[in-house]
Amino acid sequence: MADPIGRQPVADQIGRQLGLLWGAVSLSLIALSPLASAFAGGLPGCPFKSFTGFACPGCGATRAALALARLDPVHALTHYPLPALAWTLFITGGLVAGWRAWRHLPLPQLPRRLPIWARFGIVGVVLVNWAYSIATGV
Amino acid sequence: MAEEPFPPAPPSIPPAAEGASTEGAPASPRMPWEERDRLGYADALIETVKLIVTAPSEAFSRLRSDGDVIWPLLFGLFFSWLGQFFNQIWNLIFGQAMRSMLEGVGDLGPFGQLTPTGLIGTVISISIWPFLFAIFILIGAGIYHLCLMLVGATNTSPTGFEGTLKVLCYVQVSNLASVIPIAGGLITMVATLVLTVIGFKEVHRTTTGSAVVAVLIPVTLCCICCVIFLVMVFGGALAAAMSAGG
Repeated sequence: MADPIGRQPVADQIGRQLGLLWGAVSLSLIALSPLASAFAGGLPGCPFKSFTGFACPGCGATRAALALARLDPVHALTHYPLPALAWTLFITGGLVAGWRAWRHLPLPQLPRRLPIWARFGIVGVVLVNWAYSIATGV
Repeated sequence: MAEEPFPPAPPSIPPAAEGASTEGAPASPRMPWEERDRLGYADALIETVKLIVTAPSEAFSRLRSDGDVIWPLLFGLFFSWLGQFFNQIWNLIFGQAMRSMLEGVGDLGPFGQLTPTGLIGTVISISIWPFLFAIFILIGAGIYHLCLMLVGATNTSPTGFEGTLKVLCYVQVSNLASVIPIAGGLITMVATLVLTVIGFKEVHRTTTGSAVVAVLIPVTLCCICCVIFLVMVFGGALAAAMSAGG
């Protein structure tokens, strides 16, 4: 609700700025996706995997982004499920948030407190994804 | 507009109820960068740097939820860009020498593929840095905020994601260490971690332990590779020095 001189409440202003920022970043990532291979070409491989032979918990994030950039979501999701899902949610969420912020529509607030089941769930998903990466030789 | 202060840590300043008007109450000091209109941009910038370097706890306890994340982002971008500029300059000057030295240590694994950037690469890297900064800071803040939520550090936080983002913007001051050639990168990394912990503790009103764990989760998961690399390089150098001495 706007105050008498037309300024938005603090939470709305912050939400709108963050929504626009997130949307701009998502759009930029989509616009630059044809150049993803060129950007990723200069990155070194994973030293953890190089020395231990096993994938690290973060392995696959770059390759998932590259697969999504060349519009191959099936490959991304089957080989690197969690990173692919995270990238998809990040881009989609950014587009939705940016659009809602642009239209001055309210944005959902993040909860301050995560239920205990959600915390264990997130840790469990990361561990399962790591095990999957090791098992499939990512 | 009712200003919502992040309740300062007791007992120095009494906590304010969320959403309560601070009208009539003595105004608590703010981060100088948030008073740039009064102080002037240059003075506000210098005073903010001084405060963060000399009294980081006080600096972060002065942050206010004032509905503006763009100016803190610009503050962070300035110092991040400065750091990137010096990193690229040092890389241009010392890159080849460092590579020759490291090759003496032994097999660098995947890092052996890295080559020093040339002048064109340096210019491109500095030019596109503002764009990359926006991406990195948003993703980084998202990851850190998730970790903070996982360890329960945001349970009683007077702010939310905004506070996490602002802390990450202001800790970019640590990039000033990049003016030091070679060791500057390592100093920046350590200073960033320390300031981030202090910032999260103050802004989210959590314990030091929770802030440390939240900061170390992504560092452990994502930078485990860097840790291995550093251990390998310094271990190799130490072994080489010992064998030469023995």
